[in-house]
Amino acid sequence: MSAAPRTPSVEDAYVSFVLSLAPTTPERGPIELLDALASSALAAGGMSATDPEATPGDGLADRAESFARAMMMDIGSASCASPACLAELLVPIAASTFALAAPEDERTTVAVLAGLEVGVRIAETILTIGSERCWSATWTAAAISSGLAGARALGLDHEQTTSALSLATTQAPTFEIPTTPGIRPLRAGWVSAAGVAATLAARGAIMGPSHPLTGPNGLFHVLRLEHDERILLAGLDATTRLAGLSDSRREGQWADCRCGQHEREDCP
Amino acid sequence: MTQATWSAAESPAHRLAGRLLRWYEQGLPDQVRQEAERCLLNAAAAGMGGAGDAAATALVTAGLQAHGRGRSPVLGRPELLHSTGAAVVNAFLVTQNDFDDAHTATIVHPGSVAIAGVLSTTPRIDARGGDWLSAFALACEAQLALATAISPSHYDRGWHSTATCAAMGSAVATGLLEGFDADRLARCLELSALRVVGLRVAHGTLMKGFQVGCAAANGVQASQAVAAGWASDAPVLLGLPKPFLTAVTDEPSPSIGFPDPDQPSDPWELLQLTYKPYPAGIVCSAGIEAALELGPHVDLTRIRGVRLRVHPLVVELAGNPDPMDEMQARVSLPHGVAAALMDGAAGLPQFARARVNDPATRRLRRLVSMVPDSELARPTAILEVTTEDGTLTSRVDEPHGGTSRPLSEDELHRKVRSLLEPIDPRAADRLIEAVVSLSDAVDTEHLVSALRQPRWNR
Repeated sequence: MSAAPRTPSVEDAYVSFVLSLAPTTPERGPIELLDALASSALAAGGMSATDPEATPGDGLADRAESFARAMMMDIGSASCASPACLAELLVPIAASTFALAAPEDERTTVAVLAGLEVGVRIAETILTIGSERCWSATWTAAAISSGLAGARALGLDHEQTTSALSLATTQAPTFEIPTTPGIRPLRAGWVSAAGVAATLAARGAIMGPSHPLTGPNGLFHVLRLEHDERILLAGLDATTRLAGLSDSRREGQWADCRCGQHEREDCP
Repeated sequence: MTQATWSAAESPAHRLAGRLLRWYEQGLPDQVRQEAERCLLNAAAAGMGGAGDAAATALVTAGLQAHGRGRSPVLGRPELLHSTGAAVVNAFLVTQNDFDDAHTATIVHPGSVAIAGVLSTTPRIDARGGDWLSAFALACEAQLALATAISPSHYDRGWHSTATCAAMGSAVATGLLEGFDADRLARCLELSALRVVGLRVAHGTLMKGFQVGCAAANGVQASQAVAAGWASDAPVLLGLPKPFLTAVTDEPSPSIGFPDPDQPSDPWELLQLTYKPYPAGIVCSAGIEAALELGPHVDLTRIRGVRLRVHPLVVELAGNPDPMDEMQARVSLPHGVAAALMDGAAGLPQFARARVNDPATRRLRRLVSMVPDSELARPTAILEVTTEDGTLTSRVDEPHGGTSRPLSEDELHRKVRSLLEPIDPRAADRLIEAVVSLSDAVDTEHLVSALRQPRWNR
């Protein structure tokens, strides 16, 4: 009698997806938004990972932090109050990945988009908790996805990427603070830096557990979250969540969040 | 940067900041200062003793890549890191060997974070020795105060309390040494509560120490953000009904208690600290001690079975019958008991990876069965070793190093020597002397020199 095929865990599925997403050209919207984010990051940060003046491997988390702050200031989503803002989710993922690999490289783009696809699904799951416990779905998911995207960008293997997922997940739980928009750029920077720190530590063989999200005493357990694998894994191979992203700067509308996924919601 | 407009003068964070500053300015009670010295000595030795491990080297490398070089020292090592990276590494070093301190009521180990916090500002901030020690002690007490407010439900729900309370500890250490006033210190505490780092799923992996380090670094970052003027509209997260206390526990205390400078009889949680006699989870101590007692009377070749009765939580936390590496072995009572029976000792060598995978140790480990007994108190263990000649029993109700049987000064010094003498025969004496003289020192240069890589100081 043959053994039943083992069902891959959510964590395994995420790692496999991130590492295997093909570098095919995605829709133009996400690319244009990423280009815009890269421009603002590089303008503020003054250097890219390929800058000959930059010391390789020196202060990469700090670089991600400054990138993210610049992006948040630039895109204007400091005023976004949506609990599911794709643009806010994208910023830390892009910032941490751009700090680790050249933004202009197509492989970097793929890493960011892979992280974003996972992040959207985790954010949607955290949203099911409801707002009464005050956890931020966007920022919590962003930290996790930043670690995953960074692992893809650095070419880590499956085991290392699983550790990057773990080391990012434990740093992820973040509170929502809708009345303090001035903190948002600061928080975006910290989330990005956490992703970079997780990725670099995982590359250095600081190993984490294999089920940081769904395992006993993992993230969903402590958040009191009855997770639904259908939400966590829905359409993971179709990359359908990115279509709504767009570069609204071309339309001169940077004062408000225009990620295209929700109605305009300014903070009080 | 906009001028600060934040106003929450009556917030719990403000009240806590006010008490912290008063203690910092007036000095600590003698008993508290003496316990802080013991905690500092223990934490420093634990960190230095593991500083040469491969994992430590890997994390130093990652810390350099992530945060770059700086001026902050690293325990037992020559590198100088940026304050954020140093906080990650130092807290990790003290935590990773499970040889640190413990506050048994909350299962929090505050020394690792407190030493990471004060070292992150050193030598950039020119502090007197006494102030440095006060910042260390108050950082410990703040962690324990927060942990007490959210225990026991917080840990039971799966949070790793040492990590989740760490950001506040390092924020206190750095905020005090930076010279923050009450308003800026309160903002620093609130910012440190924004992110909650630390999951118990990490136990048995290197992530356990890593997450304590990251959380300590978060407190340092909060302090830096306040110093740079970023926190003009800091959130208010601490205190009911605000998120921190309600989201991370089912039974929050109405406030975060802290000794009142106007009430000399207020208790200090720092005085309840214990120092681990063995490099293992604190819940393993009684079982290991029982094995050490029986070991000399047992012929290992005639053992048929080993039965260990403990509280059910101990089985949950330390019941792994087949650890694969040193991290897993430190939270495996079957391993701790087997190694202690075989060697008559329970130090770092008994938990080394080679020893964990040693065939004889594995054979004996398989004979150890753990029996949950809810009638027993958490610190208690009853060990029965059955041989071909009969059964021997040892019961330990309060293990050595616990609050009712604290390590004496000589025993603590022996522990320090056991950790440091394999690295450098003179390192222990240097460290002990530097800690004892810290309160009267005009600066921390002598201490920092003793804390760094021993060979570096020759």
